[in-house]
Amino acid sequence: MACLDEFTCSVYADGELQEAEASQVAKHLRTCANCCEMVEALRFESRVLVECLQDLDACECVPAPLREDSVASLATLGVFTIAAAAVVRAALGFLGSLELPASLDWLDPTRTAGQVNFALNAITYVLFGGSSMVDSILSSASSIALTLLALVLITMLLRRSIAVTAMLSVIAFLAVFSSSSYALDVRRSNDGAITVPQDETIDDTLVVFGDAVNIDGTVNGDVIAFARNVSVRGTVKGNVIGFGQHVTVEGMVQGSIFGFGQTVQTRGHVANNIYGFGQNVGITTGAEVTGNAALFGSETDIDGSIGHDLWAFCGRADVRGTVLRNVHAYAGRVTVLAPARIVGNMNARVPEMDRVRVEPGAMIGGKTDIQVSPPEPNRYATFSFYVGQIIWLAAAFVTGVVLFWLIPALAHVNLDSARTLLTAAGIGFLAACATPVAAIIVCVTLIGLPIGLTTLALWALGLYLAKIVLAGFLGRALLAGQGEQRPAPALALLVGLVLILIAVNLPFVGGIINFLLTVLGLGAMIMTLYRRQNLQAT
Amino acid sequence: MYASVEPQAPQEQDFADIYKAHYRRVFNLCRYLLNSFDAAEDATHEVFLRAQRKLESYDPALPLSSWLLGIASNHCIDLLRRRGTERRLFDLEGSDAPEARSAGPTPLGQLLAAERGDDIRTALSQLPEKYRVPLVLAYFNELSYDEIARTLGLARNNVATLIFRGKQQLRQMLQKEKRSGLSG
Repeated sequence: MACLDEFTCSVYADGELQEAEASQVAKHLRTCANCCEMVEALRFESRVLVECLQDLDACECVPAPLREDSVASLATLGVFTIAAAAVVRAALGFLGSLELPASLDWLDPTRTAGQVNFALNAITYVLFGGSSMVDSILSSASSIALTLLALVLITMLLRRSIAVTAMLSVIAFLAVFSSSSYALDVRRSNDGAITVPQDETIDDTLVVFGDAVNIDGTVNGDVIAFARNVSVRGTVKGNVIGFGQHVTVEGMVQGSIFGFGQTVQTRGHVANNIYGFGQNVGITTGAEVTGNAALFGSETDIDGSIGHDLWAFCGRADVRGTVLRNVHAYAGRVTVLAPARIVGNMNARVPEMDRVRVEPGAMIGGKTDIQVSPPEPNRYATFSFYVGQIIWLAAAFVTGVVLFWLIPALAHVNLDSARTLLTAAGIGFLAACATPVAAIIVCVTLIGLPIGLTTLALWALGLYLAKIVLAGFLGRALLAGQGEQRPAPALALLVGLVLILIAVNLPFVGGIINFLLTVLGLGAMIMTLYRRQNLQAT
Repeated sequence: MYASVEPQAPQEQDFADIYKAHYRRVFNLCRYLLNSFDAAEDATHEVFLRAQRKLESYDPALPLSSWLLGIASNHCIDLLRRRGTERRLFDLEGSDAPEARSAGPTPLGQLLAAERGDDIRTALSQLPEKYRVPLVLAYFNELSYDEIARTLGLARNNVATLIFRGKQQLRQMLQKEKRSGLSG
């Protein structure tokens, strides 16, 4: 018999050769010193390995106190989620039950006026603020957020190729520190007032930041003002966009007014439209608006004259002035006082019939149409609710199957220890809240625009997929708990989705459960993908 | 190896003692298999919770430590699979054909013995998962090839190859280490 190969010797030394082969090897070993030596060496090696591995002093581990229970079980996860949701909801309920002072009504997020106010403020803030606003107000916040983002990226990529890391860092830092250039006249003062005197004429768009801003002269472009008190007494050939506690326009505006503040008052002439957002929005006596007026606020007073339509979305609307066309009021209370003159129709949508009052001296030329907004129907009683849910379920299921087929790792998301659960929740919360902010900030700079938009798209996609990924895990956990060792992925996904569908539609806590599950799913997804990247990298 | 045969099924109140007595062994196994201190802590905890839950199903004919190590290795292998490497974990395809016929480097028992345990353990932690896991099962748990094959869901031949190749790589690593240590 020829000499043995090392593989055979190794298996023989481990005592794992089949009987027939083993006896042949034993026979050969009796005659071959070389092979004998090899087997002996291998046996010795195995012994050393056993001793070395089983050496209990190899680690300085101290038994942690044995916790009685773990958050591993699905039930605990459910209880955890529902309890957290209930606590948050109860806290919100308590906050909601507190009466806000009447003057702060417009801040109340539970009222329509407040919501409209917040939403429009936010949208316009982003739309009109542009780079100058961000540069002034958010630059520090953005730098911090983006530096953190860059640090995270670098940490994540440290084990990758240096080129990729360097490139991404450069992009990130450029995005942080690059600042778009202005084609504007920017003036700022941190404490004092900024005044454009009567005899001054500014040809560009004027952007001003300060405690008080007074425009007494002439501005040929737009005026964008951020100040506690914004006052325009001169002439503005473009638009006036004012953010402040008090925004007052007394002069002549040839464009439109966008006013955001606690009080927004117009006394002058406006050649175009007025968009006013605030607690008190007023068009005072003597004011003349050639176009439309759209007023969003807690209280609106219309004493001046409006050339086109008046749209009022507010808690209380008092009309004493002249509206040459129609009035559309979506309000808690509408009063038309003498000597009001409405040439067109008056359409009012109010919660109750007696919330509209027209004084005898007031004149309405057209029809008066008062609609009482019906109370919200119970959504569980509507047919469309169930159709919508079924469509969501079907779409989510198909998406989930495709997703798990494309990225199998996501079908094995695992949250079976308290630590992973909390880590996932933390990561998810951070990603859900910080990503859009960071992305919008990045969008402001030219180089960041594609990065920002891509990030936003990925963020939206992630939010949608989060619950699907979590559903996969929940379904698996539930079926495994029922004794199925390896449940079919599609079945597990379906079970999980149904579970989530029910949970997020629970009355009272559903909305918050939805948020928590999304956050959890997002975190789990990010962790899994990150781990997968790492594994592939190694 | 473990001569401590338990005379009867342990009672609930003994569990704290069991935990203390076997913690380090179970923890070590988890750390070798998972290659991470933190993950091993979590896994060890989970293993004892599972053990506590199915204490009644424990067969006193078996050494308690073997029973615990069995639970631990199953749990860790589950975790490894769930990390998304299921397909690749013990995949023999492609990567490198068995070198059973080649002479290969000679066993380095002497070298191994001379090494400090720490170096061997470090080298082990640097082995790819597919070699590390069977090696740990074979030399820490002292399972037979058949038992390892059953645990990992592999053919017995594959297990033999993985162990053989794992040891080869371990030797190469240690040899390289030694050489660089000498020259340095």
